[in-house]
Amino acid sequence: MRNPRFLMILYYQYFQIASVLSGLFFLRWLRIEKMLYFLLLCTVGTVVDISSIVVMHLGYTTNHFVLNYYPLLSIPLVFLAHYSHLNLSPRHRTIYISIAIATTVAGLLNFLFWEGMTRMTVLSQIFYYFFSILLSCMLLFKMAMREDYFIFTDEPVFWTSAGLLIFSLGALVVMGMSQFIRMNDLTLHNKKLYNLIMPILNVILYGSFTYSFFLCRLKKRSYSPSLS
Amino acid sequence: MQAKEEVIFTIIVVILVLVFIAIFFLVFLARNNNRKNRLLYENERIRKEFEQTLLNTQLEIQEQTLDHVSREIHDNIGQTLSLARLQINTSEPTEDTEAADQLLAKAIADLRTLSHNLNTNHIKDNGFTESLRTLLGQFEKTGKFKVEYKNNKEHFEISDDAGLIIFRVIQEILNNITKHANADKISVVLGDDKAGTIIRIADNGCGFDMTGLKGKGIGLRNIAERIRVVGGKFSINSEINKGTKIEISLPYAEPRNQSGIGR
Repeated sequence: MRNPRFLMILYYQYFQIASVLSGLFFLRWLRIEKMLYFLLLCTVGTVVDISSIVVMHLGYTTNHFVLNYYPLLSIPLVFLAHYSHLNLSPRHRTIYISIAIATTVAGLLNFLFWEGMTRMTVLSQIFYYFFSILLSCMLLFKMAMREDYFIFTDEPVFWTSAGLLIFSLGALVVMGMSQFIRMNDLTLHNKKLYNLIMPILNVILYGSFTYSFFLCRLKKRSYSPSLS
Repeated sequence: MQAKEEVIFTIIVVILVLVFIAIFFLVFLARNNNRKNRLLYENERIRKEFEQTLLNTQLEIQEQTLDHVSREIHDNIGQTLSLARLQINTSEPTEDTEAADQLLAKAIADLRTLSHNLNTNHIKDNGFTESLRTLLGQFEKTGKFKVEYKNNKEHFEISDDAGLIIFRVIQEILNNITKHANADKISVVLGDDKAGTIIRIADNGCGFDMTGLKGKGIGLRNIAERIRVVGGKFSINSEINKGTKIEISLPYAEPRNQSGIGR
């Protein structure tokens, strides 16, 4: 068993921790901006990631049984996070909730029975990334359709959606090809392709989340194209 | 080994392309939003310009009407009263004719003052501070008010048009005090602050409840609108039985919108 005191925090995990800390620091403003579920999403990612490292240091040969909680918990959270921002009509709300429940149940079944806890739940991750892309795009379109005066880049949800979109697009390719990558043992400079790409994507994701939480504090509560 | 590197390269390129598409999409949305904001800003600007023009026109018409009334008073009624006085003076003097003569003399003087107060050119020629001093003097002469006037500025620089608008505003405020305030003391102070010139008007009247003002007070809104025309700001503070304080602040710089009132 390795000594847990010598835990190595990877560079991207500083971004994860920064996002959680900034979220907690600006909690009051996050509540006003309905961003609490995004903070929870960050927290799940950070806790799961750090736990997976702790588990490896504790001497386990695999940390998949920890990492698998990430898509399992993130799927309902990503739906919840986007729900209040999308302002759906009652009919669309029903469809949204149905899809959210169905996807969460599918993720849970995959976690419990199909791919199981010990193997990487690739399917759940693909589900998660796919819906993250879809929901981010929906939210961005919704914002683009707004007719009032507001500055896109001053909106916290713009940055969370942008980060989630970029992260999920990259991660979806990596996860979609995970079988192929594993079979062919694709490495670059002795680093697995997964470990090469995912940290960069994580930096983008958690960096944008941190900035978004910071914007919650700075955001003007009302805009007007006033000339005075 | 080389084949593996090619596969890795391809995967990385695919990811990069997707990321760039996403970034392009985000930039497109942000630029589109900027364009929409510019349009909204432009609409708002046009709306405000239109409101400003409308207000200027209203003020111009008002000034023309006042000018016309002023001329009528001076040239017509004034002349008629002067003739009547002449008639009385040429007739046999009695106690009654002397009393009538005095009354006519007072009426002529009052009408002349009224005519001057309404006349745009008279106010412009005399200047803002002098016209204000005269106006306050007239208020004091009525014997109903003790008027305190302080000019803490050596040179009160204000354009003719802006001066006329502010003068009319002060006239209206003083009329409101006469009609509603039940006050016996009025104070008018001209001074400076960092941003510009300040005109403070206060009375010791009955005051009013500011909370009841919301959505009402068309007169006050008109005053605020007129002050806005010359780039100024207007604030009012009142409490029941504690009088009313009004503050008009005007920027130092030449007013943004010259109203072009008067001829």
